[in-house]
Amino acid sequence: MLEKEKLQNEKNGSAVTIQVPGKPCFLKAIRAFIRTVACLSDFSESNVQEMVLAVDEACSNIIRHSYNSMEGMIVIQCKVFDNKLEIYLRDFGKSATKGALRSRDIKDIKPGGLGCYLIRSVMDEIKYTGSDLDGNILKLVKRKTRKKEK
Amino acid sequence: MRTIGDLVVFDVEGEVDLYRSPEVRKDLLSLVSETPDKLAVNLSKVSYIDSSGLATLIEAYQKINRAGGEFALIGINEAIKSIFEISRLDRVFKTFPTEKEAVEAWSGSK
Repeated sequence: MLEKEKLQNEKNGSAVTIQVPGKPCFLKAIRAFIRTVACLSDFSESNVQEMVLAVDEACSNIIRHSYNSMEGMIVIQCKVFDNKLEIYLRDFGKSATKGALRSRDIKDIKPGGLGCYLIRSVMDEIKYTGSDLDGNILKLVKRKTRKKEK
Repeated sequence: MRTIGDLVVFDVEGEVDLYRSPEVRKDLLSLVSETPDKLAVNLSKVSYIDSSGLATLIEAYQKINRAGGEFALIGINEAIKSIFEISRLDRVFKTFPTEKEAVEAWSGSK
């Protein structure tokens, strides 16, 4: 078996988890973590940038709206598959309302409210489950786009 | 803040995220309150910007516009280009690749 193929088999289905305080000063560490996992999963640089952006925006929303200045942790889990990366963000703050997760019309040029639009624009799948008992979970999925054959 | 002729340039460096953008917002809006005729934000040394950073730029752009001034962004590099495209703000802001081009383009206008 080729070394690259062997490595891909070992990675398939693997989960990597970190737990980070829900504070703005830790966003840089979160971005570095997502970049590392996405690069190891052989995503293109543009896909890596998109996932970094989506997770940064989602964690910023958790810090601002779910924890809203309160202390709390964000648990970030990445599940690596051959064809996709699943990212789970769990927090233990206030659940978001349905309306809060909608992206606004970006033709309306105004500061604020761009975060959800950006997340929805760059990720292939988004699912939010709010729960007072188990915490709120945001699932983000990015599928690999096939490289053009020469 | 720097002045080149009648152009006021505000330099931003590094990563502009939820941690950093309140500081950038405070400094930029303070400059905007002095109502310069032509204000450009130089982003050539910015390696990351999120929606909170974009919101700051929109706020400054709108305040300058309302006061009848001109606002532009300089040096949108490869690292941050995609967020401007995704948010379609590349169609909203006037942009220049370099400071030199901004000065040349604006030197004839009031």
